[in-house]
Order: sequence, then structure tokens, then C-alpha cells
Amino acid sequence: MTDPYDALVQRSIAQRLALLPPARVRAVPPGRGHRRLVPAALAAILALSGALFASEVNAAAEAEGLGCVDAITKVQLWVAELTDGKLTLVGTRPASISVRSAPAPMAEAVPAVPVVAGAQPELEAQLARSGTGCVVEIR
Amino acid sequence: MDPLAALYSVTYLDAAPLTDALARAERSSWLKDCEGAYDSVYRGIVAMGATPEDASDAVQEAFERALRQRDAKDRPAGWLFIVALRIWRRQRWRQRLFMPLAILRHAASSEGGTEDRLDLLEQIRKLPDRQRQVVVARYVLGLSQRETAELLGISAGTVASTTSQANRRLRESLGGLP
Repeated sequence: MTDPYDALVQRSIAQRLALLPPARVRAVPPGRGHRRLVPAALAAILALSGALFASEVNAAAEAEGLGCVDAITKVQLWVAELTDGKLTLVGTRPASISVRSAPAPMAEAVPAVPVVAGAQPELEAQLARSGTGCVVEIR
Repeated sequence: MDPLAALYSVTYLDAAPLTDALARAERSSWLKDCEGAYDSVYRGIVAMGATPEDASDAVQEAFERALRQRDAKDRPAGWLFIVALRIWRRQRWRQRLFMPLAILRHAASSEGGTEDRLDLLEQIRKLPDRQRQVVVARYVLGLSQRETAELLGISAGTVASTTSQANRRLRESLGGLP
């Protein structure tokens, strides 16, 4: 097998590459300066704010006795709390929602706790859909 | 004491420092070879399409990895090139994530007007990836056909045909030189 090595092409490439500035050596090794620090700091800030937000939302839901509902409903409760200061002024329909923190078969043994009166319809629906160990009644 | 056991113990005791010394010498020679290949690998990464700044960073990081290597590898230039190439490609993906910054930086770095003088490099960058790798390995790193084949994990025949194709295209860009 013949070697198609082309000395002219090699020489031309060498001439072109000779025009390049010499390789510079960084005092700070590449990849260990701001290039890695910035994404790491952003990730840490995101993770921390996410954890704080989750804790805030959970605390708001727990305060209303709704620790067992799903995450979306918890966020909605938190938003309602933020906008109104309390949950009862959101909707127009006269309705109330009771929550019992117990599985369905044991629901009768646990007294229902009225939580929301006059909640938004979609919030009621969310509460009604929530499942595990949490009985929600809309009246 | 059993003479054979005595011999084994003496051999073991004597061989350990000798092995260490050999390993140190081999490692020192490996690092020396890496240092020698530094500049050609840098130029090879530029020929692959990197900016001089990105190529410098990639080669420096590859060299740092070479310093941490426990075992010496064959063909330090080839090893350094492949590692630096991977590092540069990873950097390029990161840069695409932050494209506006990369565009600004490219605009700032291309004010020197060196593009006209580096036209052949532009032609190399337009070659398919495999042809570019072969051209850089052969003409920039100075590897033989067999060494290039081993480095890129392809057959010597493929290296030959790829080199021929690349030669044809590069000669066309050089103005149809004979």
C-alpha cells in the first residue's frame, strides 16, 4: 500500500500554522476559574431557593391542616395566602372544604376540619382530587 | 533458610526500588515527550477549528491530565491530541449553551484580520471530521500512516484513502498545484 503523504500540503499547512500566536499558558488552570464557578454558584442558588420555596409552601399548607394534599394544591394555597392574607376571600361561591388526615376507611373516626370557605372552583377541584391518606369533602 | 526462598526475598527487595526508579524514568520521559508535543498539538487543535485561545486552554488541560497519568502511554503527541480534542469539543458544547457571549467574544477576537493569511486552515476546517483528524495527525503531529490508524482506531487503508481525498481537496484550495 502506497503512502499518499503529500509533502507540499504538509509544507503549506506548516507555513500557515507558523503564523499563529504561540500557545499561552494560563496562571489559573482552565476550567477551574469562573467558568466552573459561575454555573456551580447558579446551581447552588437555584437549589437553595427551591428548597426554601418548598419549605415555605409546605409550612403554609401545614398551617391550614392541608399537609397531605398534592404539591400543586399546596402552591395554590400558598399563592392564595400571599394574595389575600387568608384563604376565605378568594371565591364567590359559598362553599367550604373539610380535610381529614386519615386513609379513607378510617375517615369516619377523624373529625373533619373546615379549611376553606368560598374557595376558587379549580382549587376545590384540586383538593377533591388529592388522594393519599387525605379525605377531602366539598360542601 | 531455603536457598530459593532467600533468592526470592533478595530479588524482591532489590527489584522494588529498581522498578520504582524505572517507572520514574519512564514517567519523566513521557512528560518530556508531552512537553515536546505541546506546540504541535496546540496547532493541531487550531487546525481542527478551535480559536487559538480555546486551543491553548484545551491543550493546557490535556497536559495537566498528562501530569496526573500514572502509566506512560505510547505516542504522547497522539494521546495529548485526542485528549485535547475531546476537551475542546466539550468546551464548544458549553459555548453553544452561552451563544450570545461566544458570538461577542468571537467578534472581538476576529478583529486582527488573520483570516486572510490562514485560508488553508479554513479549508481544513471545511473537511469532514475524519479527514480533518487524519490531516492533523499526519501533517501537524507528524504521525506515520500506521500510527495514525492506531490513534484513530481505523485501518491503515482507511487512513490512506482519507489522506488522498483530503490531499485532493486541499490541493484544489491551494490553487491547483501539481
